[in-house]
Amino acid sequence: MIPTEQAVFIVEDDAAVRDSLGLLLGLKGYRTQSFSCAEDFLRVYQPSWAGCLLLDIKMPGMSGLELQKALRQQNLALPIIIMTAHGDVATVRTALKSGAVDYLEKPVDPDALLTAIRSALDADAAHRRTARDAEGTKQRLSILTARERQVMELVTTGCHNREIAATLGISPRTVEVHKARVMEKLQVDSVPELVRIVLRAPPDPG
Amino acid sequence: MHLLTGVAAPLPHPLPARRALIVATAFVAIYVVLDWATYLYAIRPFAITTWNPSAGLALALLLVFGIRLWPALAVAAFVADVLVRGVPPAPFFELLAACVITAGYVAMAALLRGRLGFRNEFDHLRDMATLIVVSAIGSLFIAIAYVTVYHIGKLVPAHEFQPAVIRFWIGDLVGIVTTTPLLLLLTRWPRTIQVLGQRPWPRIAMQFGVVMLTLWVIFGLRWADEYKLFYLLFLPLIWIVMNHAIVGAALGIAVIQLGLMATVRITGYKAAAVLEFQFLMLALAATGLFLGMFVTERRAAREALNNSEARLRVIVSTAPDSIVTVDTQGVVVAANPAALRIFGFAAGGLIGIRVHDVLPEFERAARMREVTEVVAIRRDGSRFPAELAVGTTGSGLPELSIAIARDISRRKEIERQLGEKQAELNRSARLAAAGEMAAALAHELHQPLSAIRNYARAAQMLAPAAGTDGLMHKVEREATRAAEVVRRLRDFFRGGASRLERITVRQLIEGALDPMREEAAQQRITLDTTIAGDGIELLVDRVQIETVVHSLVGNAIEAIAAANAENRHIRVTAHDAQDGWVRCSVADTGPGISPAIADRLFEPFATTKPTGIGLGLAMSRSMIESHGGELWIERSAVSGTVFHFSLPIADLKEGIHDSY
Repeated sequence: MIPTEQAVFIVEDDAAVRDSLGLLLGLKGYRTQSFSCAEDFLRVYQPSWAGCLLLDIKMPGMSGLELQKALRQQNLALPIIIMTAHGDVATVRTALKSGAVDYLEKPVDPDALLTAIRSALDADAAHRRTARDAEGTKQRLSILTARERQVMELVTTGCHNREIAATLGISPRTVEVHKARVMEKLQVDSVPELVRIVLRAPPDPG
Repeated sequence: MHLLTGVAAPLPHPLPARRALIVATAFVAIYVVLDWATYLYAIRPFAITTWNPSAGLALALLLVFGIRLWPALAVAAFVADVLVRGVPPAPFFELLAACVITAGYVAMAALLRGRLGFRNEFDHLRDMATLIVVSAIGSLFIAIAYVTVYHIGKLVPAHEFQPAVIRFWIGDLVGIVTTTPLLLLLTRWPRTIQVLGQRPWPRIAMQFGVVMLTLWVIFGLRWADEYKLFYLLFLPLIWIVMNHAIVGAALGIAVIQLGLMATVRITGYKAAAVLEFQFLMLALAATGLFLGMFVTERRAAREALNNSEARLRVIVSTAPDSIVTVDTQGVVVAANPAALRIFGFAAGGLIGIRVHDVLPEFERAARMREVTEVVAIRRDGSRFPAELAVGTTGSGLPELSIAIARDISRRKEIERQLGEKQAELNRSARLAAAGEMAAALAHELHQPLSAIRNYARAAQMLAPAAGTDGLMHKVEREATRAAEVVRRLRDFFRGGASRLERITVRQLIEGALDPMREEAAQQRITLDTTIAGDGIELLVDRVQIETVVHSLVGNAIEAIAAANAENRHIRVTAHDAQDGWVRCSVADTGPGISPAIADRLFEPFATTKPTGIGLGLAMSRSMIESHGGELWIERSAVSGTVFHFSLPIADLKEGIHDSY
């Protein structure tokens, strides 16, 4: 059930809290990796590492909010769950505005922790899948010829074959051939599926 | 001359050389003229005369202008001898005699101005006594020295030595007492003229006439021996002195002396007789001078007294404090304007009333002999705090007490306000410190508590079957409770700063009870409210007061539920106490609270509940008190528990307060 490639990265300065969180999450079957300070995590983290970040806000040296900012600047979309002191509304607001997916008040309630970890990992998985899909579509789109691309774009705007033929100055038959080649190259079976792929694809750099 | 070097004689006026020369020249001229004019009854061939005013002139010169001018005196003495008495038979001895005279007067002046502290102002008896005594002794020494010089020069035979000394001495001494005081007074001529100018001139003329008449009676009528009638001169002199004080004395004596000398000259007395007159004159002059100085001193004293009394009167009438004079019977005999104002009386109103009516603690303050805080009473009966000091006139005077009272109600009010401000500040500072400590404590405790909960959960997962499951669950629960205590504690101190809003009593109470109703219903408890004065607006921190209501009602529900009581009822009431406060109460039908526990009920962490943490009531009381109200438990409740608290009604005149 749990994707083995996903891990929970714990950044927490208090050794006992760090250790107990690692133990609890480990027993629940999560892969964990603990860091005693934000700088350590930032030094070793690779963008390919999937999972989520369980981040303490109040730490000596680089704070949790600063680490969050640094990750954003590097365009790293790792879901972050922050751990704050009770009632620290201002910090929570800042962290959520900066993209944190959830927050936990200390002392951390184990049940709330597990729920938050679960949904953060799901979010990460979904995000990575989406990113991967978009990448695949982009690659497939790149093998289309210029004419095929023109036909595909007109198809997705809802034009009929005859209208496309008139617009491009080619025969409806030729349009039919191009359309079949496009659907074959993009591995889709129907026009609605084609439309969905094109809409999800990153904008054409050209 | 050794006296000169031994005593530093301060110059009355630093005299410029040019002016000193003019003064010296004028002095020599006047000296010679005086010597010539009074060259009477001389013991020939040297300058021993029965009246020597030039001696008085010399002493006055040295006293007024300083002993620096002694060369003028030496020159004058020598020139006078040569000019008035012709070519000296023994020039060396003449010169020596002039030196003796000069040295003698310089020594006298130095002694007077220096060690004896004689003052040229010449307005005290002491100055007069010093002058006369020093003159008497000094001129005696000069006389002996002078005659001795001539005796050595074989110009005075041994049998004439003593008469010559006495004649010289009396001549100089009378010269001094008749001349020097007059000259000293004339140096302050503006004041002398002023004194004379105020006198009625007809009377002065009459006094002059009486002196002349007396002289005529003594010497002109020849009814009796002149010496026996000489005392008559005392009468006009006393009259003059009484009228004109020391100035009159000096002038009168000079006039009498001149008249006397003229008379004896005209009537042709022998030198021996004139000598006897001079002794009488000496007594007359000394008497007149002492009497004159006495009158002068007395007048100055009276003037000083008048001045000081006038000053005192101004002080008393302008003093901002009440000053009343009280006699031995405790009756006010005098009061200043401030007293009338402070005690609220019209002009003259305080006089004659008993001091106890306005200052009941008058006697206590008098005994204390220091400034005492008392309660004073105004005429309209209102009381005010005052500081009272009572002084009593000394012995030998009719005993009167002076009571000085200061209205300190304004100061007291300011002190009270300052005290309140200070207390408020102290409370805020304590709360802030406690808040910081609570926040730090919360952070430090939350870390290990987090770890404990996680470990406990992990242990439950590791060994679910080993029978420790329940224990680990308890560990986790207790850690949760500990965390809750810390959290509430910190919330409480953080809540120190309140936000006040206007809200009606009903809105507040009903709003607070709303979330409680379900729980009460679950426990089959009826919860009803009696709110009198619906429209009354309170000025409170709604969240805080709701917390209080939750705490009290929650306690009541728990008490009823725990006791499983048959009668399950909670009543919340509110009514206007008519003193600016709304009185609220929460009464339940639970088992009640024993007096022993009630005593400790509001102490933090004192709890009777197994799951309580003992902060609810302490926090509630603290929050009500931060509104200025009170929270207390009813001791006389017959059954169940009744809590009361008071809340401030919003003042209609005041605007809406955001915070305080």
